[in-house]
Amino acid sequence: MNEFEQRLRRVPVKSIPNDWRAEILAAAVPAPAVKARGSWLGWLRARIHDVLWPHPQAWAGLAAVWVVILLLHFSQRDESPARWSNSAPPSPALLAELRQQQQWLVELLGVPAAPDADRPRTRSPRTQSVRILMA
Amino acid sequence: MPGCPPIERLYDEHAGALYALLLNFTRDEADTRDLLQDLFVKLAREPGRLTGVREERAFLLRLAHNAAVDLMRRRSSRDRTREGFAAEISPFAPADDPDEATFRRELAAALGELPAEQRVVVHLKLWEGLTFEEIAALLELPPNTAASRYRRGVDKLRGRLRPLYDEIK
Repeated sequence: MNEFEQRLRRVPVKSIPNDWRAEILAAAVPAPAVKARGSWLGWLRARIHDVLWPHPQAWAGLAAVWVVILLLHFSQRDESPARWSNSAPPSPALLAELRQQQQWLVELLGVPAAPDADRPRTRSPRTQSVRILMA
Repeated sequence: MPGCPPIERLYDEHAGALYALLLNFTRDEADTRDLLQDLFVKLAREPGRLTGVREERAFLLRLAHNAAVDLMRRRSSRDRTREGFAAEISPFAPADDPDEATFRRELAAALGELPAEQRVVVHLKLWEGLTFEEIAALLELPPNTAASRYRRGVDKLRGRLRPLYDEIK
């Protein structure tokens, strides 16, 4: 190191402002009071703080979204029975259409139409239908 | 916790050196303070970072340098140009002697005109007293690159300050 560099080296750098120490350390160690409290509440707060830091707003936003989803979910569950009970009966045209489709199905499968209500149902009508179709 | 030094001791032993490096790099008191605070906040929240570190000062200087580089990258090119010619914020202590005050002011201005990669090497060599090997390890450079950056930086300072230096020598 030559004379010029030695000369530069002797120039003292600026000292850090004294008041920064308290401010920076306060920011770095913000929770001595919580630790000193020693209660489970303080412990819980410290853990929550650790989890939520460094993006507390993002976590809060996510929590708000979940609250909205839950509210929507429960509000729909409350309305559902009332909505079904209050719904109008099917129209005669729709009933006729359904009967027509049922009739076509019976004819297609070869099953006797409109079995008596008192007659006990066979245990396996589909198996019989499949046999007919296979034949 | 063993192996995790208290943050107060770290501050008292190293904050001055970190401050000088950051101020010389950023040439901005507010940026320096923000970077320093962020660094100590991270150290307080992750004390394990220093576990097993043998050279605390070098490790902290490296963290500070990386944080300053990140900050400068985030800045616009306008700010970088302004930073390149910043001479108002001196990284040196004020002097009572007028000649010495002038020399320090000119030195601060000349340092401010150096590219950041030369300025940081000059700072670490002259005012932290690190070897080129230590600087190379800190900045993740080959030692020869660290040495050549230092030499180019000092040559520019000499060229700029020679008349004043010869006058007050």
